Amino acid sequence: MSDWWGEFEFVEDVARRWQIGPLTIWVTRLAKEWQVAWRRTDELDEAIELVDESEPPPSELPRSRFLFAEGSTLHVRARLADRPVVARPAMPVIVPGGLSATLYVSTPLWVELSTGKEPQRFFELPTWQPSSTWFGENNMVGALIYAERTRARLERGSHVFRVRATTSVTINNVEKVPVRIERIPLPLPSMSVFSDEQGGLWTEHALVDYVAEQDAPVRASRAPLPEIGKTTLVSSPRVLASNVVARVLSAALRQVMA
Amino acid sequence: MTTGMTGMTGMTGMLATRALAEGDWLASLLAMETDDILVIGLRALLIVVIGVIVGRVLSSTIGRMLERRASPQQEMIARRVIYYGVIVATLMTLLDTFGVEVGVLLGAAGILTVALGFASQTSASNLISGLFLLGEQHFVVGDTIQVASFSGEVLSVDMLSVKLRTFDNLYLRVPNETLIKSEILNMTRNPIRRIAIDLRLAYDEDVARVRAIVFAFAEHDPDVLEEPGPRVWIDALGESAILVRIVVWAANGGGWYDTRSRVMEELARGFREQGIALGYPRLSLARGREAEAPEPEPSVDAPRP
Repeated sequence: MSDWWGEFEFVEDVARRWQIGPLTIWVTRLAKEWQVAWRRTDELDEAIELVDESEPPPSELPRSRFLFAEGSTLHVRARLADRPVVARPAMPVIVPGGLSATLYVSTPLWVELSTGKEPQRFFELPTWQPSSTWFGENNMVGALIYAERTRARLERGSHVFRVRATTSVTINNVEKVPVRIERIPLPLPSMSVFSDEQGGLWTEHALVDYVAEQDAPVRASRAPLPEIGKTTLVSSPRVLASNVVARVLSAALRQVMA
Repeated sequence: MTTGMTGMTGMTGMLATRALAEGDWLASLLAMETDDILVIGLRALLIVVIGVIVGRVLSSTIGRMLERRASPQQEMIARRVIYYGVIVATLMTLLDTFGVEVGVLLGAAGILTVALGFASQTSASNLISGLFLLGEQHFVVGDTIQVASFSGEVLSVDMLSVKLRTFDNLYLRVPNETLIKSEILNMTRNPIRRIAIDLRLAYDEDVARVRAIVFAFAEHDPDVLEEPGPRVWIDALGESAILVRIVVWAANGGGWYDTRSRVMEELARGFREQGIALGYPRLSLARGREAEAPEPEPSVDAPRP
């Protein structure tokens, strides 16, 4: 199966359709402009389809026009969420004292369209709109982030995630008492997307050291887990790891683990 | 006697000399040729024009520099300080052109301030209140506040008043003194805000059904926050209905009203589809012998509120 991201050459008056899980996008190139129409379902669909033959969008869908004098190449990028995401395991996970566990958490991807010699972004949309949530010490201090339910798998499994990015998180409980994991905060805006040899999408491996009464920031390593095999970079982080995000997440994690 | 007379004459002479010295600039100005007065006048005009232009250019340049680095409030204060600083410097240069000693004028300013203070108590009060408002920072430029019966977005905090743009896009001026004295509700300071909906539920309805509808909707809607989570509780057991309060949270700001409207619309639809029985005020009427009869009394539903 070919990748849904990358560079796509367009001739004039041709429309292409992408189905990336719940999101379907139609992109049309006209003389000096690009037109985009989209539709999103509420179903957790993982189907991927690229239609190369000209297929105009349904007439009832509103279209957005983006005026570019030049450029016939469309850059489609898979990006991580624009805010940190807190993944809540469907069932709370308990890590016994002195042990560590690696969980696999998947989060929805954003689709970014850009064009031009120095690609200029003109459209961006999540394939699935996650719920917003508040993350902070109280209702006045904190940050608005996204919330996602996760099954928090313990095995990598054979399923290839192409519509969502998978993050492996190692939780290292250095204390002697068990720690109950109810929420896993992921600093996704400062993480990248990689693709493995099967076309599955991954982020860097994340690590958390749990020490009682101390901040437990989520640290992102430089690459996905080695056992995933050879990976290629698909998109870079949106922002450099910011202290603000780290502070918010560490405060939140401290609360979660307390 | 002669000595006394001479002494008095001397004293008068000294007073006259001081008066002449203090009013010297005016006398020397009046003694000038018409051409010289014209030259001084033109010079003064030039100083005023240059002062105003420099003040405006400098304040707007600094304002632009701060646009991305500082908050709108800090930018506004920086602009004002620079502009009024340049204007004061211009005035001093202007007085210097006329030959007025600034030191003497500043001495007189004390008396002038007292006189002006009495004459403009309200303005002075507004001015001081404005400084307190800026210092207290209960709200900043860009916040939406509610004062008395008015609410709107803060456009600027000026020397005498605060300018607001109401939700109807009307331009409202509130004197600083009024703001200092009244309760101000800052509606956008905190990033999240509660949406509370009060519901009257019939006594034969199950609150758990309502709770299920609210929770299912909250989980599905991306704008309703997952944490703080939705809550449904019984507020009171009324005469003819169970008073239920539904609480969900959403991001504060421009989209909050849209979210609130959608929450109410979707919940109303959900209640209608699930046949949730709402409670209405009921009134039982009894007349004559019918009232004594053992048969159940007819009940009349009052019109919907």
